[in-house]
Amino acid sequence: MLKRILGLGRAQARTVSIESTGLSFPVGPGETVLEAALRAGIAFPNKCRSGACGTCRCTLREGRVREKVDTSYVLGADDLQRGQILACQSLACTDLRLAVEGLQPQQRIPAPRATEGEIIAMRPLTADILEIRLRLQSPMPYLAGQYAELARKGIPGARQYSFARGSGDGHAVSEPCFFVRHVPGGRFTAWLHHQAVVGDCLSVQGPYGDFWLRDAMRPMLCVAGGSGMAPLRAMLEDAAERQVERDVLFCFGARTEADLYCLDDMKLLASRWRGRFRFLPVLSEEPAESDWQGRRGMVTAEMMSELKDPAGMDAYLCGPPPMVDDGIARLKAAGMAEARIRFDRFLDASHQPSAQAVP
Amino acid sequence: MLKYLRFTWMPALIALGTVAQFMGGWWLWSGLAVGIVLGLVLDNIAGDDLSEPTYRYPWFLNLCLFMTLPLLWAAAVGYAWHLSSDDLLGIGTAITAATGYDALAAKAATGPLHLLGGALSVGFVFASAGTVIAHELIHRTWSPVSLITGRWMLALTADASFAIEHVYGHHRNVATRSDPATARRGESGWHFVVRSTVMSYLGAWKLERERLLRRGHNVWSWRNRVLRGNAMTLLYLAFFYWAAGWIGALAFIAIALYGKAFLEFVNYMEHYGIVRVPGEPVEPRHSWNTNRRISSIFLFNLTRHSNHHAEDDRPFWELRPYPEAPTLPYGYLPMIVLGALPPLWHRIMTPKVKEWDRLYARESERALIREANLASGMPAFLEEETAHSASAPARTAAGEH
Repeated sequence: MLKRILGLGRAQARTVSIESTGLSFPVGPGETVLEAALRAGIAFPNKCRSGACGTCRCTLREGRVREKVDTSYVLGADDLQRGQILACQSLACTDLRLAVEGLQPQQRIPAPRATEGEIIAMRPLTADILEIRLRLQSPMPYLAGQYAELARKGIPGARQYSFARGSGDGHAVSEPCFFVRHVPGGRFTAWLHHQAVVGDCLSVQGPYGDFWLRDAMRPMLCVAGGSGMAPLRAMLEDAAERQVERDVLFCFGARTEADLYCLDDMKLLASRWRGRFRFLPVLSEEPAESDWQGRRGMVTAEMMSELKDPAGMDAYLCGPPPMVDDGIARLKAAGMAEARIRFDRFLDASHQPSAQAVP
Repeated sequence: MLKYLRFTWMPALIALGTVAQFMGGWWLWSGLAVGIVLGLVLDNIAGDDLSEPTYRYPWFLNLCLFMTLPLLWAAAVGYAWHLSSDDLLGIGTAITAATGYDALAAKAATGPLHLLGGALSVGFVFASAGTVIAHELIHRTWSPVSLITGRWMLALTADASFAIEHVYGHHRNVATRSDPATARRGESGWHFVVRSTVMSYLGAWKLERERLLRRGHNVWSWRNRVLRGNAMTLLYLAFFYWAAGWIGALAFIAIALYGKAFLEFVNYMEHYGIVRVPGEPVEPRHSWNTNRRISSIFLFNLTRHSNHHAEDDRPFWELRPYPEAPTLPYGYLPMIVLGALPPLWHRIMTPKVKEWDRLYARESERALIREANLASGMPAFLEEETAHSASAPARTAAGEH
């Protein structure tokens, strides 16, 4: 009888609310505050989860916790007095109200603006993809995955290019990078690839687009073709910085081995990533007799053979429209909900009725 | 089934080694000999293990960890029995009574040279099983049973305070100047062993002192875990003294220091030359990783060090291999041997560290790399800095199309 009463008492779920964020979540019996917060999809700061690093420290405003370790290796005498606790070691004895520093309720989306940018570096990445770096007159904040519109005086229309590097989660960037694929018949890309020199100026407007990483705990599938590498690299760089732990499968489609690029960046990302990170290049037109050991075929077909549980993942697709559309169709057929699929179709002059038209 | 079996090898071999020890004579060398065959020979030919099995019964893996402590005690008692002038605890008589094998004759046939092998073998086991498994256990700060088991294992190598400094010091400060257990560029293995041993102990003392003061306790009290750790080692020492007098006590001290040196040579290789900006997150690239199969199986995936440091709370069976991480050229035992031979170490590791700078370092770490190169006192690192400043403008020009 007594046991049953105790058992009942222990089994009770408690509610934790985080001050001035509007966030609240339930904590089950035997579960730490951190575990519960992460399960609820809240980006609670944390690192070691053994009560050693102090990253998950927060202030207990109301309620009572039991801590599994002695936190005084990490928290100073003042901290202890102020009611600081380590979320990763705290079990809730009552409902709790916490103050957590560095926890933002909602990511802010920067407002678009216009500025000028001077080309300060150009570097060919493959035979038809050029990396350009601009120095902006006024730095531009953006979320990784968004794009800017670039235009050159004398060439009608603006072209859209994704930011190719992270922004440290929305910080203003003064020297953004873009990947520009040479589009046959495209005046702007022809100019950039053949005539432009360091010192030339472009007008830059942005940021635009909603292709940024959504907070979640599910594994991620990233699929890119050609210059579609840019927004995904940016997104993954920022996510690595934030210590995101989701597993990632990044399938990259290219024609031949010579069309692969950013391989060192992927290696570096993999070495920084806290979850499982797999980069899978797939070549569609690699000569059969070459010594390429990796995958061959359509990237969208090859990725499907790697997916164990598509319904439990989030997908981010970016690149040429046929690839993106085919990828979406296959993922939906495999049971992935539409809301879990984010994409950015790279339209270029070849998809337009007239080569000069704005995409 | 095999995936469970792999982690039973270590406890099984300790048990066999203890049996071999009772057979006396040259059998006392068997622990070290088997270690050398596995670690130096097989490890070099058995390839990499990149598997990531999932386990439904982790309790069995935990059993492999916990059962090692009594096995290590058995090995220690066996060795003390050989050192003792009479039949310690009546062990020999009991063995003969139970099996018919004349253990006392085997003991009588064991001379000083055999005993030397016994010390080298027992110390090797204290290090390769004791410190490694203890390391796994002391990371479970939330589990008192794990902590105490780990600390009793560490006390065999006079190092129970490792449980404090490693978790609250090393893991927070890894790859920065303030971490005593991160080897610096150009530092020799032997210099590191001494520096890390002394500074880690002092680090543990400082952490423990601060903890007690914050809680309002007296530093010189039974609550002090550093003092309690010392007492645990003293208890082992007292046992050896009781068993075999001054010879026993000296033998235990020698074995403990020798085992501790192994642990420090392992520290030496795990982050040699790597830099990190204090306060920035610890990433997989901040450790030297290896996926050598034998090393991984026998050292309970300690080899998957890149993942271990990025996610401290992961139990060993969940660690991932990270083949993309900075990788040691050999498995653990060869690297320990190299660590003890500074000229060879530098010949092999200097290019690896430069490769780390090239492939894995980030812009924010360049200044630290420069500092580390200049402080290394090694021409191979110094030349990097002089060459750099000369070629920098040329590189920019090339980058600009």
